[in-house]
Amino acid sequence: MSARGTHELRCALCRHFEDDPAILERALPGMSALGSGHAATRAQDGLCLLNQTLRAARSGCESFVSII
Amino acid sequence: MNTSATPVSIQHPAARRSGWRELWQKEDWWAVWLGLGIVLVAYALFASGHSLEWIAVSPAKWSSGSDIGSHFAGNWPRYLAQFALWAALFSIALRTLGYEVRRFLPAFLLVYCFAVLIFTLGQWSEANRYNLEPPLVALVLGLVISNAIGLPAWLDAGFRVEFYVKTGIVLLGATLPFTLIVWAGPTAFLQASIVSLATFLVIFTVGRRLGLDQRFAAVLGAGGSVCGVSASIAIAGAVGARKRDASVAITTVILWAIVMIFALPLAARLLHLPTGVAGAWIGTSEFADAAGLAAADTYGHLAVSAPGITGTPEQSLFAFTLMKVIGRDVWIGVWALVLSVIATTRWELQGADTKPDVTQVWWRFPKFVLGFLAASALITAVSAHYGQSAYHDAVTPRLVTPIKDLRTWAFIFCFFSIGLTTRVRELARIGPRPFLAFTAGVVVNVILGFVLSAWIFAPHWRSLAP
Repeated sequence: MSARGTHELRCALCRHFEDDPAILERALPGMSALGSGHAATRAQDGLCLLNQTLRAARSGCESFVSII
Repeated sequence: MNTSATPVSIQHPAARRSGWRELWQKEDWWAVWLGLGIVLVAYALFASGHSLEWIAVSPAKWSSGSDIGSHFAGNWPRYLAQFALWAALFSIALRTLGYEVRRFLPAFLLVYCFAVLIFTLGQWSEANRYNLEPPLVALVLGLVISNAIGLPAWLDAGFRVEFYVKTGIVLLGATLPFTLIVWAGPTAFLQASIVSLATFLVIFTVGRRLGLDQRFAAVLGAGGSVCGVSASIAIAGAVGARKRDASVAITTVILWAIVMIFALPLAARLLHLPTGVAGAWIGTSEFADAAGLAAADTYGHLAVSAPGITGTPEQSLFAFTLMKVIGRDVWIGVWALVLSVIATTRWELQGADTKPDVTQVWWRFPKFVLGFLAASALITAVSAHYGQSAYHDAVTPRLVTPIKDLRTWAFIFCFFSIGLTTRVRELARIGPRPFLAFTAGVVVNVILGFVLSAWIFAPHWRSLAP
C-alpha cells in the first residue's frame, strides 16, 4: 500500500470508526425518515465512537487504534 | 499514531466500499439500475409492438363502490404481478445493501397494500372535495400508524424512503423531455444558488450570533439550504461535527419539512399560483427530495380541481425536480469541499486531522441524478423518431404512461414510508437556539423562493411544459 493510501484512510482503519449504514441510522434518529445511511452523499463518512463525532474516512486523530 | 502499511482494500469495510464497489453498495446506484432497467424493458417491449402497460396497472377513476370493485375483480392478477415485480427488484437491491429479505418482504407487503388503498382513495371522484390527495393521505396514515400504534423496528427494512424516491425520480426522468432540462436547468441553477447561499448564510450567521458552534451552525445551514437530512449528514462528516449536533439538525429538518409539505401547497393554492410556479417555489423552499415531491405532487392534485389555477400536475413535478435535483442536490459535494476547507483552515481544531479532499465532489454526488438524466435522454431520443400525432397515439400510451404509472407507485411507497419512519418520540430534542437559527433561514428561504418563482422568473416557470 502506498504512503498516500495509509495517510488518507486513517479513520477508516481505526477501531473507533463505525460506518455501517444500519448502525449509523440507529445512532442518528430520523436519518432514515428523509435521508439514508446508504446514500451516495454520505460517501465513506462514519461515526467516531470515541469522540462521538461524524468523520470522513480519510481524517484521523491522536486516539487512532488500528483495527488490524 | 499507528499507520501500519496494511492493504486497506482487504482490511476495513470503509475501504472496501470505495471505488467500483459503490456501483452496488450505494442505493443511489441501485435506483439507477432499477429505474433505467424498467425504462429499457419498457422501450424493448414498445419497440417489439408490446407494452409494459399490463403490469403498470393502477386504480381507475371511480365514483361508486361497484366501479372500483369491478376494477379490482378484473385486474387482481395484474396487481399481484406488480407486487411480485417490485418485491423482486427491491429485494435484490436491499439484499445487496445488507438487508434481510425475510424482513423486507412482510414490510413491503404492508407498504404495497396501503399504497393500493391510498392510490384508490386518490382516484375517487370526490377525493379533491375532501382533500384526499395521495401524498397527504400517505403521510398522515404513516404518521398515525408509527406514532399512535407503533410497528416493530425490524419492519424498517421495507420503509426505505430515499430508495423509493430516488427510483421514482429516475422514472420521472423518462417522462421529462431532455430539451426541457437543458432549457430550464440554468434558470433552476441560478435561482436555487441564490436561495441556497442566502439561506445558508442566514442560518449560519444567526446560529453563530446565538452562540452555536461553527460546525453545528454549518450542519444546520446545509440542512436548510441544500438537500435536507442528506446535506446535514454530508456536512457533518466533512467538517467533523458532533453526533448530537447532527441529530438535532436532522430533527429540525424533518419537523420543518413535514410542516412545509402541508403549508407550501396550501399557500400556493391561496395565491392561485400556476402549477409550474408553485413547483419551482416548493423546489426552492422545501428541505428534502421526498418531502418536496410530496408537496409538489399534492399541489398538482389540488390544482386540478381548484378554479383559477393554470397548468398541469406534471408541471408542478417537473419544476420541483429541476429546481431541487438539478439546482440544489448536485452541489452537495462542492458545499462539503468548501466547508471542509474552511473548517480546517479557519475554525478551531477539535483534535482531529482532517484533510480537505477534492474527490468528495464526486463521491458525494447524488448518482441517481445520472439515471434521471439518462432516462430523459433515452426517451427523448426515441420520441424524436415520431411525429406529434404518432407520439400522442403510440409513444405516450404504450411507453410513457406505463412508466409514469410505475413512477406514481414508487412515490406513494415513499410518501407512506416518510410517515412510517418519522417517530416523534425517537427524535433528538431541539433546543431553542438551533430552532431559532433554522427558522430564520426558513423565513428567508420561503420569502426569497416565492419572490424568485412567482415574480422574477414567473414567466419561465409558468411556461414550463413538454
